[in-house]
Amino acid sequence: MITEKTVHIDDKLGAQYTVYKHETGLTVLLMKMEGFSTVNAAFATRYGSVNTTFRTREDKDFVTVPMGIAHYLEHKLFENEDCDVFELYAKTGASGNAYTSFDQTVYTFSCTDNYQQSLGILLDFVQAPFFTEENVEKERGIIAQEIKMCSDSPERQCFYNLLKAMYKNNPVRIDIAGTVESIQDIDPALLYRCYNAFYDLHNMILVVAGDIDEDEVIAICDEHLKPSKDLGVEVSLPEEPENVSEKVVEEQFSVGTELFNIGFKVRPFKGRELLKMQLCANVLIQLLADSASPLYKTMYEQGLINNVFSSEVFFGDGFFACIFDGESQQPLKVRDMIIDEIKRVKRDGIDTERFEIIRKSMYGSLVREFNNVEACTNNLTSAGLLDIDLFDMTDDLASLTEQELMDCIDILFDTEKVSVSIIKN
Amino acid sequence: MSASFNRTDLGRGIGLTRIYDDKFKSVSAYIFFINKADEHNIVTSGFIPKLLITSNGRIRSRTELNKRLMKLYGSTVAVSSARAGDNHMFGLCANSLADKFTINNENVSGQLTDILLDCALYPDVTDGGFNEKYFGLTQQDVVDSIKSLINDKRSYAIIQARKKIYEGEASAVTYYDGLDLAMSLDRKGLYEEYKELLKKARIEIFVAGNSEAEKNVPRIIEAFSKIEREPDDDIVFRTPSPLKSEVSFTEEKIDVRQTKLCMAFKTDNDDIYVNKLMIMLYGGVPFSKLFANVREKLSLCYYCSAGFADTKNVMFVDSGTDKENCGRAREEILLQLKSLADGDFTDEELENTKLALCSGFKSNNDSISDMVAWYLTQLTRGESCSPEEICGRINAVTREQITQAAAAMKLDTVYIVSPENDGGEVS
Repeated sequence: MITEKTVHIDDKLGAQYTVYKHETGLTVLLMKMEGFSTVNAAFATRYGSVNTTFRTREDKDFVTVPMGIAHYLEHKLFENEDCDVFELYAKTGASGNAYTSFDQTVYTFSCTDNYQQSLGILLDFVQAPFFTEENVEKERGIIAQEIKMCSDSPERQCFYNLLKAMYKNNPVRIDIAGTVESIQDIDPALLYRCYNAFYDLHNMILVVAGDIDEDEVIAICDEHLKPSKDLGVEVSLPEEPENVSEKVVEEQFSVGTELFNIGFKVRPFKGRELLKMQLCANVLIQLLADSASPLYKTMYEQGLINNVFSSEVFFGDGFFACIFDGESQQPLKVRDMIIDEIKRVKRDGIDTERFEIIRKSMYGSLVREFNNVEACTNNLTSAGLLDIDLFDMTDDLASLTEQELMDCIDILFDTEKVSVSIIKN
Repeated sequence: MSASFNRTDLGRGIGLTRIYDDKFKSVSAYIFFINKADEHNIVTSGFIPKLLITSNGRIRSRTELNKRLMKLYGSTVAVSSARAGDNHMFGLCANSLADKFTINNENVSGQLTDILLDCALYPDVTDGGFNEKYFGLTQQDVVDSIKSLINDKRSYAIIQARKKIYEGEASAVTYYDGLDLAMSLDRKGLYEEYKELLKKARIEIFVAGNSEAEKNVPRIIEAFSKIEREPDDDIVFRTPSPLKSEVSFTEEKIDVRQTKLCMAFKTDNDDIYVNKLMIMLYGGVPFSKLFANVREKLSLCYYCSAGFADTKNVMFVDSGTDKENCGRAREEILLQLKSLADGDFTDEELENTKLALCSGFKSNNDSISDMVAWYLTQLTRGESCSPEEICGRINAVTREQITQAAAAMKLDTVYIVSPENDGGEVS
């Protein structure tokens, strides 16, 4: 049964979606996309690798669990008491998958036929954990292989080394899958404890996008969702210093050209403020160093960077950073030039023409995302988990001013809070 | 399906394909040059498009070109490339919002089409060679990208394996062996090669996305009607790879933690879709023989999947495993192929695989780039079938055809990349 329904419309984008509050506590976000063959669904919980310390209303004290449980849970939920979930999807033709990030776990499927049955499967298996000593033990080897495979990637290693350099205590500094050592301590009891705390429907959302019948989707929810007690899970992160832990870290690897990540550590944000700061950071990071910027031109033409240079705004529950990455023989010089450019912008102000071009370019990218069912599902999932309106981004972008950017540049690009991670050959 | 498809032969070795669907809010144009790969042109054809998108004869600054694209609502001009058997298909692709989705109904796609055509046909040339500054910078990019192959160990293993699988064939050549050549190229020589390419390569143009793109087609046709053409003989896409008299086995040791096992099988069965379906059942879906047994039941690896190079009749299996499990994984991969040939699968498994394969095919309708890739692949097969038409063929495949296709697959090459500091050979 639905207790609340809100329709969100953006005429400029030619798109809309509806948010339903289900009586079980689940928030359901549906986007009808006429003419598309694919239906994508995401059943997601606000639970990722950083949420290792938590308590529910039923717990007196916080508990701290080993690293890697969120990811381990993601693997294990695909195994039902009587069968493997992939066998069920096989009958509908859907392609099922899942991923765990630092602050969310998302179960997805994509299909062109029988989305109704596939949705029933998705809702059923995520709500039906089945962990035994035997099946938990069997998964340990597979996850250890996954960790080993990832450790063969110098790009990934460079990124995680940066997180270790920026963060002293925050669990974001540890690989999402944990370590081969930390997963040794995971057992069925721990998995059930974490599952019961974080897979409470009040802490979860369901997103479905494609050429769907919304009433039909809600009827499937009514049939498959189980009553869920609001346990009010509360997470705790360790105290994190404002400054970075280390300025420069290096590691040896077999690489063609040396890799680098440069990260500006920023205090974390929540809700509407997070959306705003993320937008400002995205605009500023482009103003500073996108491929049409004077800084990029100088660095590229001096051979300090090549065309794999890029940037991202990295954020989530309890962490926020602006990161530049690429290949260079002189990564520290790249860092110094970025810092000089930040200081110049702080002193001279924003280039108005470039700001308007970036605004237009970002608007184009936002509209183009509505060409793609999977992108819509992912964006709606991110917005839903943060409890914000997907279309707020377009409105905020339209109304963003140079003054707002100048007001937050000191927070977003503090030149004293920079770490560099280098992978050397 | 609401998409419309139409291919026109413009003559002189140039084809134009239109794929329109108004559910898309953007438009795209692709220009592919197609030629038979050799050790030289595999590098130059990686180099030339990178230069072409850096600047052009009218916009001679990389920064200015990027600025112009950003002004057009973040439009893009990028490099697009793919292999089809012994041939290399590469070129430029451009994507922009359809005009009706801009804030003031601006003419974005028309301006982008002009930029794309300038990049492809009117490059930034001085004194008989590509722009000296950008040539040097792009050369460094090419060198860096070749050196960076080692960064991704799974791709590295697959590329190394290809050289053994296709030994003596054009398909064996790889961009990543061209470091010395890339460093020795000069801007004038490369410009001459570009002119030859424009004159002799087969050219396939795709215009796709919102049907508003049609208004840009006349200027594309006109631009290509003006270029000098002496096309080479028509390209042959299907060149099945011959089975070796003895299985080739190679183990390479590098700085890696997880062992990569690559196995190639060859067949004389030419039915592309029967082979594709069989390979999906073998190792292309989560309930496949390889995933269900080698990974899930026996926990021998993290990944183990199979794919098909249809122009070469080659099935490829790659797997990431612990070194001590590599021998067992290899045996199990062979055992699972035999079980398929022996008919050890249910009718339900076969029907489910058809469903999964068709679902994947039909999902191509939802992305402009996937639709272009689909019809480009159709071109290499001498057809122009829609995903729905191919699903009709898939659904007609029988058990017997599957067992015969599995039985026809013969092991040809095993290539292993393993840790250098782990001691001992793979068993």
